[in-house]
Amino acid sequence: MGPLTVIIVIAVVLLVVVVVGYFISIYNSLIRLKNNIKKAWSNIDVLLKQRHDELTKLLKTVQGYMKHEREVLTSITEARTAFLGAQSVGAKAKADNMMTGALKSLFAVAENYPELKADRSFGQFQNRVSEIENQIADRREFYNDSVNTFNIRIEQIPDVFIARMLGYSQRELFKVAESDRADVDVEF
Amino acid sequence: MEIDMSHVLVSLLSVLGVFLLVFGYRRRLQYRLIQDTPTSKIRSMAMGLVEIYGQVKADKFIKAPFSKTDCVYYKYEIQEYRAKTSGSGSNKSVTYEWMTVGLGNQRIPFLTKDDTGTVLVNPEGAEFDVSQRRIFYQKKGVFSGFKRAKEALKVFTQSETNDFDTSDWQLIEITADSPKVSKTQVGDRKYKEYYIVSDDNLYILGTAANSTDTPNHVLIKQGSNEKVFLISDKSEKGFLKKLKKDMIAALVIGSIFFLGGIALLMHFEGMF
Repeated sequence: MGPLTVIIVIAVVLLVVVVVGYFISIYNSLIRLKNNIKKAWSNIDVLLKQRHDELTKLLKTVQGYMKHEREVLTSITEARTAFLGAQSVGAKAKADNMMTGALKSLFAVAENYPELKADRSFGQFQNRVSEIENQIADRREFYNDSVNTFNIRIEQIPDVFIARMLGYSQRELFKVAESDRADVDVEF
Repeated sequence: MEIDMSHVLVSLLSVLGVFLLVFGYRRRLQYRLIQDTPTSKIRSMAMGLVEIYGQVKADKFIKAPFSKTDCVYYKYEIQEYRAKTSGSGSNKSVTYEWMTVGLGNQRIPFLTKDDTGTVLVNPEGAEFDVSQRRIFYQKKGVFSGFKRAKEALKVFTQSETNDFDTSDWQLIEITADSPKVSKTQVGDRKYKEYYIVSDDNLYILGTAANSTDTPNHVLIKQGSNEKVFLISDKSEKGFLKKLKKDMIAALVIGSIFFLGGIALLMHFEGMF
């Protein structure tokens, strides 16, 4: 083999390495994006379960004080049942929105019960649930960012070719409730 | 066997090209990773690789070597104006350039805060991208040799008190308003400082891990699986722009060096 052949072989091998490396990096990037979504969803799920556990304790505390607030307590129970039965992202998002709405009503109604408000464990549960609610909101945003990046990437060239080979399709966003998006009317 | 220097130089050029291509490829991977990772809020970040954007809130400091600024990270670069002779006989030529003769950095753990919470960052193993903050000039002859400055800096970086006197170094700070330095002479030095101080905004890509020593039981550090740990004083957009610039420059120059080197070697062999 002459020196020219050797040099050409080296150049071709390097070119092949660069092209293959480029496509491998796209493949790895898409796999990472897919796993980011999975991880982001699991991280929301952990908090939803934590909130569910806290709610069980919270309900036990408030039931004694709020015997006449059937509607509020029922809405929380319904939201919990919906959450337990939810499997898809959309169903869990819907159950989460129901729960957020029901909790808002519960804490608003609790204002009418001074004895309940003075209860130390209620205060602790309220803080803990609010803390989890805030974390869920942050992680929902994070999840939607992950989904958005994935959805954009799988439609871009050249990623779209590898995404099609892998059978990737658009992922569902974790949508917030219409009531949470509505403008707030402020009257002075 | 006689070795032709031009062959050696061209071969080295090709090898440098390969190194630049690898560097460019690494920059591309980092660029993609940053693009793929959404920014987390500190209060709700999950364990594992996280990207945060926050403000430094430090209560412990180290001192930057020349300006004595309280900071949590500093890097210094010392450059000396040197004459470089090339060729021989009538072809002899002298060029002058600033050469880096000293580099160093130091870091300590610091708190970072965003609008949701605070987290401790242990910067051990992090790759920093920090803008130059200060620059000092020193005329030749202040030190008998560079060795003294190097020794003094070594004492400084190992000192626990950060008590380091540079008053006899005769450093002149160069600012936009300062008078122009008189003609540069061989032996003149520049002392450049890069640092991060409290209230600086930072972009951080690192690994969030459990910690028993911190109030919220979380710490950002270099991960054992995910080694990437980047800290920049630019915004994510600014940092990506810089990475892209580095990546394109390295890939273009690397390709030119490599392919140019190969072509020259072929030419030397009389192949075309």
